Amino acid sequence: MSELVPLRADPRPPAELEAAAALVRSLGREPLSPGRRQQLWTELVSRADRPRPGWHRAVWAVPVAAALLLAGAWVRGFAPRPNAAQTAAAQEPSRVAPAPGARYRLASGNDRETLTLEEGRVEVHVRRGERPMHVAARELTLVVTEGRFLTEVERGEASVTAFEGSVVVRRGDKDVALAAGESVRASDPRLAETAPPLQLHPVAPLPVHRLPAAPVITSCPSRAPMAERLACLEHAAQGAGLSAQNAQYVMALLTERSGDASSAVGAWRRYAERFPDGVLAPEARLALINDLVKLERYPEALAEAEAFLARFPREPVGPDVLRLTENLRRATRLPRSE
Amino acid sequence: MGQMEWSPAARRGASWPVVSAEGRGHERAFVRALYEREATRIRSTMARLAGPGLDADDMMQEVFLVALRRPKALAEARSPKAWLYGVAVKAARARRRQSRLRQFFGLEVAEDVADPSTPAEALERDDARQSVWRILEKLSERKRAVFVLFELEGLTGEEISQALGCPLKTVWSRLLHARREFAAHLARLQLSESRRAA
Repeated sequence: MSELVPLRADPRPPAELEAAAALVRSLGREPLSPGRRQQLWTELVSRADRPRPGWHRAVWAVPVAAALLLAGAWVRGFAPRPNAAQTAAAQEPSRVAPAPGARYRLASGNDRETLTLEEGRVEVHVRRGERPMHVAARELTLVVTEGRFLTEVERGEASVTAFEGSVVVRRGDKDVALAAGESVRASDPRLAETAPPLQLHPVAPLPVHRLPAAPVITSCPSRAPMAERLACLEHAAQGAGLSAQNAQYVMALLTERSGDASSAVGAWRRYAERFPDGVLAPEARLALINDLVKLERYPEALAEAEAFLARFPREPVGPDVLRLTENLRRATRLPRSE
Repeated sequence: MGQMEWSPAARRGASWPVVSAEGRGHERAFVRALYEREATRIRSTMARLAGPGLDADDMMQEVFLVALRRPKALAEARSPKAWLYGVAVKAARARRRQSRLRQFFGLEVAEDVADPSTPAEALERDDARQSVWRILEKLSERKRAVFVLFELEGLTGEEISQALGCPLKTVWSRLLHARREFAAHLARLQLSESRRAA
């Protein structure tokens, strides 16, 4: 945009501005006489030299404070106010409100209240700072330190609905956190069990009573001192046939009973290596697995258990061994071998 | 420019020695020189921006009082004249706001300007000031400031741009709109006068 010429100095203003230009030209400026000008300057200097009152800054504080107060009142006025039910709930202590017909047990422990719900509905409100509430409703359990929730058992199925606060509902090894307004049933997929609960650690050895009785028929004297007997068995095991198998088995068994599980593992391994199809091969391998479990050598125990299942799939202790392998896998966190 | 050679524009970037009496004397001499040259125009500008009902002398003093109390800001201004007019525009706006507030609370009686039913008489009395003010009052604050500074006080576009702190193109744009509105209001005023005369 090019620079414009003032109407006052424009000799030929646009037609629509002619009247305005004429008016502007006719406008005079009130003169300021030298005397008046000097007088105003003197007043001006005296005003400038006058110390400024300190309160002039505080003057601004008054409207600012008033504005802040008004803003605070405005915000408070528009803030959502709790309704009567919320106010009452906030003032109430912890309480248990059962619906008519509810069957439940309430027990008071040292550090918590315990509610066991068998049938019906119970609303529980736990206030902050008060004793936590432990609730058991069928297969669901929950511990609440603060909040309000409804727990229900209807037609054999338990469910929990949170009204205030947050509630963690547990079923087995699964749990679900509920926020206010959410609910969960026992049949919820989030709580579905993926595997039967297993003992993770320590790993239980195979039940010994299900092992077949071990034959102890050897040529070595059973009443001889231990060292002499072991030396005899060692010699007999060098041979072949059933007597050698028996000698190796009894030697391993005696070592195990002496409490030296580590040496017993070596003796059982020797049996398995020398007599893989021996008459007592399944028993020797099961004893080997048990001793490895006792020594907490879980990876080796798992390898032996899997080898046992592969080699002796029809053994009556098969389900126990299978359960043990699952247990060992969890303990060692190894993936299932194909 | 005499003492104006001591212009702060030449001192830009340097610290302002306001602690010594000599320095204070220089500042005051500089403001005095500005006062001598611009006082009449500033007074007129204030009257046109704030309206005829307010004390133009007092408002003019207020502008130069700011100059005396803020020598550093004046020193750092690219154009002291534009800086003064910028202060004048703000002071006039504040005065008008205060006046409206006081009128609202009944602390100040509104200016008894010429009767709107007799604009022709006002013009005939050579009281163009009041007619102009009646039209200026219909313009917005921003357009009125540009119109007054350019058309009535003779400031250049660059000076107005510095005084108002806006781009030069904005100044021209506001001026164009202000002229159109001024002319339209004046036409209405004259039409009203001719109808009354008929």
